[in-house]
Amino acid sequence: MLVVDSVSVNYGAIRAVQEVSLRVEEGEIVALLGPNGAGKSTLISAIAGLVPIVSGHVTLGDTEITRQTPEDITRLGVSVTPEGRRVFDDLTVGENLRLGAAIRKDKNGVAKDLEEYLEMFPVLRERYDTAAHTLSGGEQQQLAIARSLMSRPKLLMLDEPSLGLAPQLVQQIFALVGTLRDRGLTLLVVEQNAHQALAFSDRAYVLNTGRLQYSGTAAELRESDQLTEHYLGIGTGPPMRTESANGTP
Amino acid sequence: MNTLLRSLVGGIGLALIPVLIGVFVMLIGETAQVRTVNFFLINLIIVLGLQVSMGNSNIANLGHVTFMGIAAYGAAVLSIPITIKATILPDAPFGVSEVQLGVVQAALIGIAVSTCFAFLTGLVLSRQSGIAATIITLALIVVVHTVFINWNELTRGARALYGIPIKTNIVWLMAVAAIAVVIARLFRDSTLGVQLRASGEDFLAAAAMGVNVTRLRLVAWVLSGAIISVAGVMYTFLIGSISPKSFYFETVFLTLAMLILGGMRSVSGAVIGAVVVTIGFEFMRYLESAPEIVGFQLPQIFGLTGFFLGTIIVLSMALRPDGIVGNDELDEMLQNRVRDRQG
Amino acid sequence: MEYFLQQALNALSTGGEYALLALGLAIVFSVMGLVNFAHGETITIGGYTMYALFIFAAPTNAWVLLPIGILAAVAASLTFERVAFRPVRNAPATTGLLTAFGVSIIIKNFFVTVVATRPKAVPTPDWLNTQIPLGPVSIQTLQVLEAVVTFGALIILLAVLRGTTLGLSMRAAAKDFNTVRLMGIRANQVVAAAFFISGLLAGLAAIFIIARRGSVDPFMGFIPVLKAFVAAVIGGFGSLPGAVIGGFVLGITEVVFQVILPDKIAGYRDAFVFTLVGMLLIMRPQGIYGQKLELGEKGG
Repeated sequence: MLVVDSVSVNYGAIRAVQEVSLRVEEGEIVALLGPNGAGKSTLISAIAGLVPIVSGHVTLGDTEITRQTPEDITRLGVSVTPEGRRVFDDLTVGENLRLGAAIRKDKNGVAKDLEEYLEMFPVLRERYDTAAHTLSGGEQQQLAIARSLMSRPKLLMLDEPSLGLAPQLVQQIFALVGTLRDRGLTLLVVEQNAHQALAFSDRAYVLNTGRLQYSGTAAELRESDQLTEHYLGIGTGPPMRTESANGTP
Repeated sequence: MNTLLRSLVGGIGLALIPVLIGVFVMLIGETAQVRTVNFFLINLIIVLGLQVSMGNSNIANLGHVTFMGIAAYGAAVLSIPITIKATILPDAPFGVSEVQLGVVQAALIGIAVSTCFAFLTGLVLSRQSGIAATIITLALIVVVHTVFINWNELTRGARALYGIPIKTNIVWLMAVAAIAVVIARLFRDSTLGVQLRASGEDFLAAAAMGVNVTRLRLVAWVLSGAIISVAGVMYTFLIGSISPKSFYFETVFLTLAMLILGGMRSVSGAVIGAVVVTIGFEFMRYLESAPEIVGFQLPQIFGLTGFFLGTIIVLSMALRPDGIVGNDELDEMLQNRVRDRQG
Repeated sequence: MEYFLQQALNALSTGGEYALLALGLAIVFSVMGLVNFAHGETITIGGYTMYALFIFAAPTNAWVLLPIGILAAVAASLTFERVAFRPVRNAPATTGLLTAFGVSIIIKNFFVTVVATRPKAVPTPDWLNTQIPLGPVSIQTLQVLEAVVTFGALIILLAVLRGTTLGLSMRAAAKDFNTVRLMGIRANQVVAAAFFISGLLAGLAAIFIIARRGSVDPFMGFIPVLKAFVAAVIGGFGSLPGAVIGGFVLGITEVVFQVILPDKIAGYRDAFVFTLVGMLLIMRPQGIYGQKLELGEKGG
């Protein structure tokens, strides 16, 4: 469904993403892993159209979305839950959700989805008429995800959904991710919490300092101790040595 | 030291532009052209003053012309012959109607008073930022303008205050403009100027490095006020008759436009902006075949000429928002190009 | 006593007009961070359109004239956005400010060149100036109308901002434009909506300004936009409730000084008002309703 082909992105004067290629097939959950500053969020922003792509191509199905605006990309069925949640602070929960569904024309469908997500996230029903900034971090994350879902996307990109959340909440979020996949949603999840991410995803890519270091099935990554040690869970550690296809140094 | 020397040389080079224009017009121009260049040089001095404050501290300043007005009225009131004062300023306060000073003395006092006022207002303003600061400069010019219009005993209110001796000529203006260019340039490249510009870019970082931003802004504001005061004094002794209208929004917008068009981050920008706008005006006026302006005021900015001024501003903001010259001085750009070619 | 009541009414009426003007500025600033100095010219265009209609389509019913004037103001506002402001949409605030200023010079000079520098009289229907006695005081029909319209406009604006998706988008865009775009909502539509509303408010203001002055001239927009700017900043620039509050504070302050200054120094009214404004901003730069911005936040 989503094909990222040799994409490079700048962040100011720095080349934040260097010739990264990845793909996400329909119905998959793909994890994008790597330490802090690896370029994962920049790549997501670029796919979403918020940041210009210097070279390479991004395709969604048959459509090239490399140079399209964020509005158009969302309308093509890609939804992003941005890093840091980015809920609209001054608006109520209900108003946030309403904006999530802004591009949809089917009133009944929207009402149905709204009801469904309020079931899925009871706290949102509770706080429906309160301003979003009064919600806790975890609640805001739920709101952000629900808001992204309201547009009925084909592909949902979650950028660091577990950031700053208590472990129990993190569990909840990841359980949710599985549920979503069962409903036919395709997901690309950026995560620093590699262990958890590998537990629910099908495949994963590992980014470091802007480059793709490794790609494989979640099972492969889980089993490779060296990979787990070298690429995941170690923040900005010592410089990476050369990697080979299966990750042995 | 080396930087300052380079800056001095650059400033002198830049100062040649107004000087050459002046010399050119002196040699071959008629009265009308000389008058135009006189006004150009006065506007240039104002724009240079504005560049010192706005170009370095990154706050939109709408009140700079205040200091022009205060200095102008100060010098005027002190130098008008006593006989004339008896008619037009009979009830002047501070014993002004008894006094008639020489032009130089009156000028110096006018500049001093205005600069003091700049210092006092600067104490308050240097602590402000952003839009609030801009509105405060706006409040400044409105308050002072209101005082000019209402203090009939001292300023003759909205009517023209005439009888001021005419002493300014193009040679004086050229000299003052050249000096102002060099001063503005030296300030920009001095430690003070550099620190001030850095703080405009990133206030937090500069403050974290121990830069006393408030004090820097005060210095820039006072220097700016002083330069503009000089312009006011030269103006007053050029036309011999002033009224509050010359020190209000028309002049603010004209000089602001000149600076923005040229590029407010550099002294070259100030100079080029003043040149381009003045040429543009004259060209427009030539097209319009308007009758020669015999009046007392600075060039009016309304009419077909103004129409094109506005268009130029809009176009240049869309196409070249940093101004014609941009962020670097002309001589700096030249140096870079030479270096690139050698390297 | 009656005098004070009368002046209180004047103060509210003036405040209401400034609130209307300040709102027009605040709405554009809140969505795009643009200080729209050309707002005054939107008013001027509305004014001249009504004047032109009156001249060329003489006895025209006022009720036809006014909506067309408002429409002209809206069209002008949208045109300014499309032609002049869109190219500088993401530029720093100073660039936008100067573009707006350039537009305002163009329009002023357009009317100077094409019409005249001198004011043109616009006769207003007599009934607007009749006084309605209200107990011990009397109020002009014009003032009543202005109050009703301003109030009505505010109610409608609130309804739009709370109830419509576009209104919600505008409120959201004030803090986080990019995320609004991620919802699939077109940036151009949100911006156009802001300018539409701004133009509408300007058109309404134009009607009342002309009714009061009885004439149009190319520079008639200057003082209104100045007042609007000051009022909006007093209230907290970019905040919509702030604009309304600021408008009333400015209007009331003006009338208060008008009343209490002895005749000899009555001319200094503006000096007093602006000194007060300056002092308010020195003590509270974020305005009455504004939030103190941390260094580095948008708007600082």
